[in-house]
Amino acid sequence: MTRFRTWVLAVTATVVLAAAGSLRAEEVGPTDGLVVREAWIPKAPSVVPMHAGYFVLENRGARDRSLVGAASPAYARVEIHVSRVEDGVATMQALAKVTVPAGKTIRFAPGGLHLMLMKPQRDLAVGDRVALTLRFEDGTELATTATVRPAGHRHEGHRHGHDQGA
Amino acid sequence: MARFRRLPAAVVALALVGGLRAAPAEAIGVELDAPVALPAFELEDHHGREFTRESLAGRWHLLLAGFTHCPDVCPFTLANLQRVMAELSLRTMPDKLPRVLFLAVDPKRDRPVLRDYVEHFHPDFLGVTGDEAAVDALVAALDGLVRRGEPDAQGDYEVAHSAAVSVIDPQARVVARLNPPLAPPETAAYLSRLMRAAEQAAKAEETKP
Repeated sequence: MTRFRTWVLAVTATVVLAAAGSLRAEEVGPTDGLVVREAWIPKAPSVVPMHAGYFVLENRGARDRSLVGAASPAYARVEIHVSRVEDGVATMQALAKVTVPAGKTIRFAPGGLHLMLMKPQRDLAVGDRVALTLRFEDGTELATTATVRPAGHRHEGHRHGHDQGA
Repeated sequence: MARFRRLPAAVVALALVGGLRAAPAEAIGVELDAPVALPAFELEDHHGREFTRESLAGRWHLLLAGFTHCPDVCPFTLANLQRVMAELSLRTMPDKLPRVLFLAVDPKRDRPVLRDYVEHFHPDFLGVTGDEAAVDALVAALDGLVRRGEPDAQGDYEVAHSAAVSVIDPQARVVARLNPPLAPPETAAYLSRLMRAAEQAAKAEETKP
């Protein structure tokens, strides 16, 4: 029996190692194809008690998944919001959930879907990293780290010379 | 305003998945058919100094209406205006650069923090606010809109406001609107053309017999 157990352990170890090698960590286990990436928080004036959180949420799985909440130790409260401009007027609404259909990607980005991060628990500087947990309707929790970056359009500060404007 | 009105999530998700990235690019700016002269108004700037229509004279201004508790649209637009100004400063003499005004439409929460808020984005940006009635009158004159919502259990409330940036000429007239999201190089190029054309038109007017 000892030999059999050893064999089982070896096979199990091989399978686990193979899985670790071929799949990215976020695809293993209950997150089941949900991937969150590029999470960031625009640096806000220190007097502002409400920040925004953005990220890309990809559902590589075979079933639709619904984001129903989020939390961060850096904020007292987090809600899912959407900004929209209708007839030239910017409004913002809280959402109970955002569904990511199977195989689709949703971008939380300035001027659209965002996390509203309320009452920062400390001052945040550009480059700071903030833990963020996304909660889904089926109980799945997906952890990520958001980086505090300068606000505004991405990459503008890094373009030198090769943009000739309009 | 309906900050906590819950939308059918599926509808929102579908709209966003289907439409967000495919939306057609809006024009950077739209010139008005005819310049709109602003009426007299009495506000104050973020240093507590009086700010009136006369304060607009002799210089171009870019005016954004917003509020400091706005986490998404307002900081995004202000940060983009900061980059527009950086681009514009490469094309424009310093004395002809427009000044960015942040018209704070939620004076109760904005006034105590306005200076710190506005100067975070650029030390030359100027915050302007006043009584709600005075703010609303100026917004209306800009053909804009403000709606302040009911406070929720935490006392937070949402403010809906016009998203466009008004371009005001040195005669205190609105001549154009910039549409978000204000891509910096394109917006700077647009403004530079607009201001140069206005200057040439004014010169032509002066030299008329």
